[in-house]
Amino acid sequence: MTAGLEIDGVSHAYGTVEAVREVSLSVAAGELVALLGPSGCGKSTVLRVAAGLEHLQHGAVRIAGKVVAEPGREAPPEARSVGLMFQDFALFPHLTVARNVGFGVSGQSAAIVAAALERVGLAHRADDYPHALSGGEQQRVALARALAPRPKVMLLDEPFSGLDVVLRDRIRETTAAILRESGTPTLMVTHDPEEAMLMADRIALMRDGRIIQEGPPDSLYREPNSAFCATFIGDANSFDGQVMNGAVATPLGDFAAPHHADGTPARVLIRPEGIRLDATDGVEAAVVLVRSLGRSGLVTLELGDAQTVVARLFWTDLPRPGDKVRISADRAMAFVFCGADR
Amino acid sequence: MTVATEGGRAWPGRRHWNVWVVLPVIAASLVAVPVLVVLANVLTPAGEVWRHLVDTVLWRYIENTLWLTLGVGLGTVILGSGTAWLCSMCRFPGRGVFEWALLLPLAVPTYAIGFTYAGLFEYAGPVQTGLRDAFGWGRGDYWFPDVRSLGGAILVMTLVLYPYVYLFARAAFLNQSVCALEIGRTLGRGPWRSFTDIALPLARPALVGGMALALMEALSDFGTVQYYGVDTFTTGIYRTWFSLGDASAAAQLAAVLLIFVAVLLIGEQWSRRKARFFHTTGVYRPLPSYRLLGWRAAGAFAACFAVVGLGFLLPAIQLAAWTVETGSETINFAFAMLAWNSFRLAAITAVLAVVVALLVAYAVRLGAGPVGAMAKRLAGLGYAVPGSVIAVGVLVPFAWIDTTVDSFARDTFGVSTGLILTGSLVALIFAYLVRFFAVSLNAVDAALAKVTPNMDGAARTLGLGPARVLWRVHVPIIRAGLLTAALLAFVDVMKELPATLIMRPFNFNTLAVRAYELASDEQLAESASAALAIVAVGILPVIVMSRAITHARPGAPPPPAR
Repeated sequence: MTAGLEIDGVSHAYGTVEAVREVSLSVAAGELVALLGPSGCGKSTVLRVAAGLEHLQHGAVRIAGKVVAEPGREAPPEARSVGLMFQDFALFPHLTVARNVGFGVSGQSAAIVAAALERVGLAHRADDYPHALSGGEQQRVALARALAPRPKVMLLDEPFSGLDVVLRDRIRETTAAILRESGTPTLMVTHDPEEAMLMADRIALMRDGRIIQEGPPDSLYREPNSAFCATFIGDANSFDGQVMNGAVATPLGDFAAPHHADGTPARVLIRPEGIRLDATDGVEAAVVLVRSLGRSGLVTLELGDAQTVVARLFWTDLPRPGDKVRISADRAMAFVFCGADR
Repeated sequence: MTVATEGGRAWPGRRHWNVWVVLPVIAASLVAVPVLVVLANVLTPAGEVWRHLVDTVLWRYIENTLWLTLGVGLGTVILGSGTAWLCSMCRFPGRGVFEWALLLPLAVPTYAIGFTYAGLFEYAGPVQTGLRDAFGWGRGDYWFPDVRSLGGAILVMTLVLYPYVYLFARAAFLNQSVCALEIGRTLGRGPWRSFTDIALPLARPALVGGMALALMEALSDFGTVQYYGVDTFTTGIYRTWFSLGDASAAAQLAAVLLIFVAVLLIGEQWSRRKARFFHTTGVYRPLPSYRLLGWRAAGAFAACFAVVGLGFLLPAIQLAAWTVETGSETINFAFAMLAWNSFRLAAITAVLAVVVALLVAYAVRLGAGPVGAMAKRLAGLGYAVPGSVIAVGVLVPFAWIDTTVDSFARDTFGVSTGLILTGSLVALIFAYLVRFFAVSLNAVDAALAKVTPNMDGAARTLGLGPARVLWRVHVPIIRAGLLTAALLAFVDVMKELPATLIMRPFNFNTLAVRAYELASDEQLAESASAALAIVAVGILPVIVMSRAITHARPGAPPPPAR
């Protein structure tokens, strides 16, 4: 695997606040990796260290196999060949679209600029100033500007949060397509799990300055290694309990928790789509609320002891409020976390 | 886990401690030199001249200075906050014009209004002559206050310095959340009570800040107090320097003056810090406006008109009248040379001040660290130091350098180099820079805030080094702000009198110096053309400021983009 970007054991502190701790991550050529996490988890700092906008304190950064930052020496951002896209796009207000795009290109820029604008579908706005463009157009100019100098790595910092929801989905898709087409290894920072799942080949989930899980989007969804990951990536019904004889008891039955001592606090998380309503030997529940989301629907169910469970069902399977059903949990969509992983 | 908090070093050969950190430090140390020189002289043993000063005039200086600050402080706060309240909270005929016209007195240097009022109200002046003609009085038949007195100095300075308080108070009133005032109204406070009970206390830091600036100007005034025969530190420094020829005694006087300045500076810095907390953030809606009718409207109009009239119209008209009267003799080739001298000094200083301010502000933005940021703040304090203090603080070390070089040259080569720096334009421009650097620094800072840090980041990752980013991104975006910064420094240099008077090269005159010299020779009418020229130039920054304040209110429509 030829690495586009390698972040190796990077730690970073602001004063006494440790924002990033021992983060290692690599992005291969043609790959789009999402650095996902709640706000304040240190993900943007990782990006800024990679770009050289923040001074490296610990660890190393390599781009296209060459060290650009390690303790004691550091290449300035302008010597790293990275393309950077910000949430606010940071277009230069005093330059036309074409000159914005050509800003980082030296020499024969006209043809490169034209091609870059063509690629993002903005050739007709070349002579306009940024303030005359819509949010979506500004985003594409920022993308074209970052890509025009053919950077070895693309870094995106929450590139879609500045856009309204209607635009966002479409622009995500075109952006991902353009980045894939260019083959540029891309690291994208986002706090939106849906965005990360939609766009990324691989997701690195960050919490409190550390990467706690890394893998393809579906592996994070299907095999989360902590309750935090499971609930950050998707919805889940949660039951707290204790390990007894290698299992955790919940209203929906026992869930295996091998290798844990009796009395260990545990949490069982069950994805809404893991709740089955057609069980013959399941737990009795009453349908309280049915919300249709089109293709599927969310069903709120009340168990005997006033606990509620949410199930996600295909639209043809939706019950009606007031129905009495018997429910069970699909063990493949349930996760048991003991001790510190809870 | 331990994390090294010091940044790693840059790529081979490029250390963190680079030119961008060194720049603000150099700027700050240069600004600090005159002040340190003056303070260092406190430590030198008191000479005979100093003991003589203490025995004779020092206490009079202190007394006069105290009265002056007290009077001007009180006067500017009353005029400034009153007019600001009328213009920001009330609706009455002419308000839109007064809003900016109230700034016009800023265009009149204290010495210019001082000379004008002296001429207007002296025995042979138009006012007393008019009274005598009207009532048939003769000499000694009536009592008329003497303008050339401490009280007169306080009055004329108040009339041109209140706009500092007006500017700050107006901004404070406009920034006060409407809610605080409206709640006051619902709790039973009338318009007048809501002014005294809510608006004024909330604006107190702003009033202190504005007053501190006005008083710094009052303390550094030389022309008026000298002409009015009020002995203060500025006149004392001048006299000790020239008549008694004692540099260290002059510096010691300057050090005492700096104590007054330090108090003002502390007050002003306090007000800036406080202003942030006193800011009742929240809802900004169109301000409630008390619509004034009948005699109230007439009263508001009359009050604002009187303030603008006395602070600007009257002196400007009198200066114009004198200029018409004497113009045929005073406006000639020599006058053009004076204007040219003033212009080139101001232009050179303005360009230097803006370039240095831009580099310093940009350096701190690049992350010059706490040292750089502190240095920048220090460098911005020169505006508080009176011109005469800076003059002494610059001349003492320059004279030392000159004599050292001279004796070295004589010992080594047997030739005398004479005085190279002392009495040169270089020394004068350096003094101007120290005094007015802060003016351009503030303007550049405000302009730089328009360029978001992400634009820096984008430009850097697109392959440009810091210097080229400054040139290709920041400079074009903030061009207008740079012009403003240059303009402000330019006009301040045009108006400057005491430092110019002390430091100018032999036989080198500027408009300000000429106006002062002629007025001192009791040729007030002849001095008017030079003073009028300065006032005319001084109107330029007033226009800039008036444009800025109409757009400065949060929630107000932003100025057109281009």
